[in-house]
Amino acid sequence: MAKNLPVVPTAKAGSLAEVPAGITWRIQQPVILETCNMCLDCTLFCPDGALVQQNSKIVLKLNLCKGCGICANECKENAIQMIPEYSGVQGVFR
Amino acid sequence: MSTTLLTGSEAAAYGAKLARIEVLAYYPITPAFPAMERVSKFIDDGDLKTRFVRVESDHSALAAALGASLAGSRTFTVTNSQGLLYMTEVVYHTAGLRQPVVMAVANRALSAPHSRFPEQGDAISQGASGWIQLFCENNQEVLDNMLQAFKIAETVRLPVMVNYEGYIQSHTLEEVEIPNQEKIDQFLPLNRVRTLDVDNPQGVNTVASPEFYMDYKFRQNEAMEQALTVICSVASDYAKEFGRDWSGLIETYQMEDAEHAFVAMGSMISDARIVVDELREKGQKIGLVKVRTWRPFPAEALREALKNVQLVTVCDKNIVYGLGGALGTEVKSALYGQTVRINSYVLGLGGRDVTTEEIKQVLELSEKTEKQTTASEWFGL
Repeated sequence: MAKNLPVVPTAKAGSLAEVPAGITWRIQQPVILETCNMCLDCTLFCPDGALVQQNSKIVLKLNLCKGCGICANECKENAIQMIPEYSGVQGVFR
Repeated sequence: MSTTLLTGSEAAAYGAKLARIEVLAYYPITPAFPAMERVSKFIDDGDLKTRFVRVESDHSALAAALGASLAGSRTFTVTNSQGLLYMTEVVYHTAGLRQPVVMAVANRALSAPHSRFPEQGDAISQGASGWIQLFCENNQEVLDNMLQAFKIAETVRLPVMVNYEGYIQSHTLEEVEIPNQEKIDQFLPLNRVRTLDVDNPQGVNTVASPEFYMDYKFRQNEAMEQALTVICSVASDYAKEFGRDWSGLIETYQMEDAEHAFVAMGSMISDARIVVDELREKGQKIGLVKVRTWRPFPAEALREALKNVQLVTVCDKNIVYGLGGALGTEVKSALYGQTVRINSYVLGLGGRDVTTEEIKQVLELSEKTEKQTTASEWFGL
């Protein structure tokens, strides 16, 4: 089923400047689930340093993430889920 | 309503005037230029309120037309051959941005070697561009198709090319009936959609990642498929209002009991009608299928129209190198699986004359050919 997109390929003016740089090539982004055991493997495997430890939590820096999904692939606890960027006709990007 | 003598170019210009175009963007090229000259005369005489954008190239012409269309105006341009090729980048932009620009194309051969003479190669080169393409058989149809083109374009939000051959149509006077302006205004109310809006600024032609690009293309193709229905309903609405039925996708002539069908598009059709009538008088069961809409390609309609014939002869005034005539190739693909012999001929390139005599000879040659031609045969070398 094709996505519901605007008829004319348009977006709000300045929207590229507002969003993190990686967004134009990212089609998915990681979400850290509650089952995370803080092994920190993902922070080591992430090629862009987009995952960091902050206050005993893993935090995602969206301006660095390219959406490659290596973190989710390497996570032994399956505690990282990749979710699509697409969020519907109005936003196009979330 | 009045009847007057008009060239194909003038008929296109009258069509633009009746459609009350708001912007004309144009760069001079032969043989398309008289359409622009006539529109600029309408403007100068005060008969038409249109902004004429003078540009420095054909590429800029369509770019200006695209911008004007994005701003919501009813927009028209004219070109042919090298001009159309130079526009190509924006041709694709216009379709992808879903703008209802209408372009008259006075079909002319492509360089090299240089030629200023008629054939359909320029239009064929844009067959994958996402523009709806209509081919006209005479100057009356040029005028009528111009008006239908705006209606179709603004309904499905796709650009439309109105094709007529250079000189054979663009520079030849024919009797043309000019419809009443009030009736046209009723038939063709402006369906204005603004993309550019100062109060709601939009970035146009956004970056589309792999996640979106294909979906945009699916929607664009979906609109093209929707056009198959819209073109037919617009043609029949026009016929009801103005009494001339050019049919929607294809027109069949003398096909009821035909065993041999001649398939072509553009200026050859008028001549082919005469040939068909002549051969019918001699007792041959021959008919004619006119392809009026080349894009979207009317495969279903052709399958239906040609289901009872034994032989199909397709003539192309174009050549796709290494493949054959474009229409011939596509008719073969449309009729895949049907038991029918299909012979495809390439003729009339670069202005080589195709008259009723040549059409008769091609039909005769095709009937004598036992084996189906694999690619396209060249006729008239």
